[in-house]
Amino acid sequence: MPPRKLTVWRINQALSEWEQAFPYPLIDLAACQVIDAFALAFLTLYMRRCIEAGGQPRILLPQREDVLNQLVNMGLFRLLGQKVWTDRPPPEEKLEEASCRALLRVEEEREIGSLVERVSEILESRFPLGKRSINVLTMAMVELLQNILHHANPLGQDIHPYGLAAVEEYSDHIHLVVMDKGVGLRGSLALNPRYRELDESQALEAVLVEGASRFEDPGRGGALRRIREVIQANEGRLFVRSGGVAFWQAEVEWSVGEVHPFPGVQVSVQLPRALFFG
Amino acid sequence: MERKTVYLNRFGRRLGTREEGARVREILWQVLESLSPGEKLVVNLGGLEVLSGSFADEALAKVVEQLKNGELPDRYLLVKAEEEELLEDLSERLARRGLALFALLKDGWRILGRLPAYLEETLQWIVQHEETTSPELAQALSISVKNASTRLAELQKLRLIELVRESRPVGGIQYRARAVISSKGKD
Repeated sequence: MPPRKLTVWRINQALSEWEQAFPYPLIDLAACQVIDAFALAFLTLYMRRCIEAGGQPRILLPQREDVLNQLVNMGLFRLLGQKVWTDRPPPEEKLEEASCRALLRVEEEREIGSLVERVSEILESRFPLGKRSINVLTMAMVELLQNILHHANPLGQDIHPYGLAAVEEYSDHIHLVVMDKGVGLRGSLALNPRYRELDESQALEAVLVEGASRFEDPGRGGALRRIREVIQANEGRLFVRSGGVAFWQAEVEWSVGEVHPFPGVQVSVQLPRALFFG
Repeated sequence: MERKTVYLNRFGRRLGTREEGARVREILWQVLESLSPGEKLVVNLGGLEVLSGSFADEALAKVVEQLKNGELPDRYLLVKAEEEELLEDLSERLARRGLALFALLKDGWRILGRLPAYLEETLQWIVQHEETTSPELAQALSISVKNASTRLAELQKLRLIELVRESRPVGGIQYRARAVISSKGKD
């Protein structure tokens, strides 16, 4: 059944359906009324993967104009080019200068500073009293983006991690999304002999709870654990998906469960909007 | 003790990546190299809003580690901050490397990173009294002179105190330990 909502919580079911026709999936968004930044970034990665596998994704575009415009203005078609078939021509993309909602590509470490600075400036102008929360979000964004470049393809293999980030604002929370389709947490961690035997869920826990890293240098690694702790201290929610497992934390509880396998690491950070008002 | 100050906000308000940190480390190291023995470098974090763990590790913790390993003897490094919250990630990275660093705050000072309780007690006493010798410290803390000497050597290795060699009035030499900061947390 075509999804009406495509969000961080619902993408897994959609993915398992699309995968049946990989790399020529039919992505039916016609009835879609809500697509969040996580789902949109994930969809972009998924379609990139189809194209790289020699396929061509087909999209039935959302009937609702606002949802369609969101899809277009966040940069889905800009990032995928002409390689996607759509049931009708999508509208022209309108760039919103004072917005940080567009999907952002990250290819080099030197780009991270200016990109994060731009997002922080926009958030600062929107939430002048939310300095602490903006700083939390900034810290998380820097570390997560950096992780893509340091961990998503650590051996320089013939894979394209395709790092993406987005920030979106809701009535009750701010949503940060950072993701890639690289080797995943287990793939990176397994380069450290100490963690080679861990399965995917053990690797996810080791990284997020214990602060494990592929590096032996004691100063390296631990960024995801630190982000998890800061999010917890700020009453936020964290969802991390890597390979065939996902980690979910809300308040003081966390759990690990199975999801439909997908390469790389996909992270969703949600901070309550109340925090942004100081 | 003479000092030089580097303001990190000249590199931006939000400092985050390792690449940025490595560039700043080179600059800090050059400034440390330009110091004479006994001088200190104060890294002022005023005006910063974000100091990520990655940046802090690359720019500061690695410098502290080099000093602890014996490079540039008798040069000292401190940080100065307006908000203690900004120092959390730096402190965590220092602790992971088994290092300690003075942080000067509005209302005094604190040690970032990891310092065993017995060394913290010793350091507190030295800062309070500004300088001491092993016998004085031994008497004050009710420990042996040998133990006091060991503590001073450990604190010096961490570059938290300065040990100055001097002649004993009755012949021989002794070391006088001096705090790198004053009891009011001034650099």
